[in-house]
Amino acid sequence: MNPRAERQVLVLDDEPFQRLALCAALERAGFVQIDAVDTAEAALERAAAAPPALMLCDINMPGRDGIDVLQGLQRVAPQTAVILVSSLSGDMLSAISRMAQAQGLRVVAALQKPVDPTELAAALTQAVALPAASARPTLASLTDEALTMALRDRRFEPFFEPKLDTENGRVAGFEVLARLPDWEGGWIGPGRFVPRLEVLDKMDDFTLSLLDKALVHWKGWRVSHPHLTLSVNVSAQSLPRPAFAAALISLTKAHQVPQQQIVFEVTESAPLADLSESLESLVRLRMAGFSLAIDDFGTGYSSMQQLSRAPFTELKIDQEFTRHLTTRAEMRAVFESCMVIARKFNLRVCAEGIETPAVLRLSADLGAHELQGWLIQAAIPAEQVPACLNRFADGRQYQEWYETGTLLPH
Amino acid sequence: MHLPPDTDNALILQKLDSLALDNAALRARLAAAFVESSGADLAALVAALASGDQPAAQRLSHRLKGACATLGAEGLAARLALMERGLHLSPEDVEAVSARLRAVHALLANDASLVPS
Repeated sequence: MNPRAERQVLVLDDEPFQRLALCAALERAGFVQIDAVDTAEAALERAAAAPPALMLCDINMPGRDGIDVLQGLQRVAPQTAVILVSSLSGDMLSAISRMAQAQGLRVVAALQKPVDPTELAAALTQAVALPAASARPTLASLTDEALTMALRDRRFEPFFEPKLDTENGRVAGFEVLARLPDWEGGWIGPGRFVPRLEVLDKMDDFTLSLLDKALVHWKGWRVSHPHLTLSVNVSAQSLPRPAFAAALISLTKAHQVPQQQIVFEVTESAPLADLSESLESLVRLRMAGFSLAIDDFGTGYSSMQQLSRAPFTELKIDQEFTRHLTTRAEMRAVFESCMVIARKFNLRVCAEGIETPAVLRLSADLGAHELQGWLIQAAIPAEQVPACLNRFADGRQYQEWYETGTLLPH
Repeated sequence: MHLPPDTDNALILQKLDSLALDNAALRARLAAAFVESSGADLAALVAALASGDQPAAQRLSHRLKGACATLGAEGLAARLALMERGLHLSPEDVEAVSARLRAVHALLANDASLVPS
């Protein structure tokens, strides 16, 4: 039987004519099981109920857009091969493609509309050639035992996401994000293992192992870029344990790195269960010279209480607010409020979720010191970091985005 | 700025042929889908501009641009690309786009009428 006829394909495009044209192209290419939807919600519902082998995904849609779909797909059907189809500019489409790949999705092509039939045919051939979806590890196959062994064997690898300095457009530093190699040469993102590691109470070992590897790379880059900072996520679960803070201090001393340039990011997506015990660790880390960032600010628990009591030095505005900064007045109001709070507490501000030049420009104009997001660069493996540093070395790419940011809509 | 011709009728019909191949029913459905959705989007675009909602107007321009480009209406797609960037959004510009889109609709209506139901 024709393998294409066996593959379930999901098409998402909010524009009826283009949706029909894509379905026609798929039929012509030999696909039979084609399901077409016009909203992100419908797409995720179908993908969760029956993960398709392939999805053709539009990006720019009203309401929840294609980026929301890709994030959802990573959770409900990470094995689905994805072809992005959009009339966004080529660099935007590439940035989104890199982001999705960094999250572990199988993006086989990013095609600009109007779709070139030859390019579509090549992408479909590539998608069909991928091994069957079931051959790839799924969330279910990441068993507790597999995770424990991965930790024991130090198989978690640091990826690095750059933060740009709005003063000069250069890379100010990198945030470390964990990836686990899968069985096909791809990478599994942290959303699929960190929650389970927290349940297993393995976050201390996980963080220390990841930091240990990241420091080796960072030391190398600091030779030519001594100003670079390194940000590492620390679980709220680890903080109440004084031994964990002591281990962080020992590890960085052993590597002989400047502690002032290391930032520990504390997410507020989990409550700081016992603030007084966590506070002890936070104070010790500050006293040792580290910087402390409150991550995903505005989304979690008791933000103001934590800010007023803990010695944070940096505030990271959650991407939920930044992403829609130029299109939704309420998001801009939250962003501006975060800036006011940061100024009151004398904190540096990093805006996450920079996905368009317009958002980059407005975030900078509103006073953010550092920016990170998929427009700039999704998380990359260590070997790609030198090229990334070169790309932003003269600040011209940032300037170009900043200048075009006045014109481009979301 | 140089823009491609506003309506290249031959190109549009050729594009429709390549999208539908020899399937006459599909050709008619594609034409009908374009007329219906681009007509609705244009009306929404005009309404958005009338109410001063420029972000919505730019989003709708983006959507219309994609449909026109897929149909081979390159001149219209180029004009809508400018509107998507917040340029050329005056009433005269919008009327020019409306007139050209109506011409494309008329072309498709005449063509579809030749297709046996």
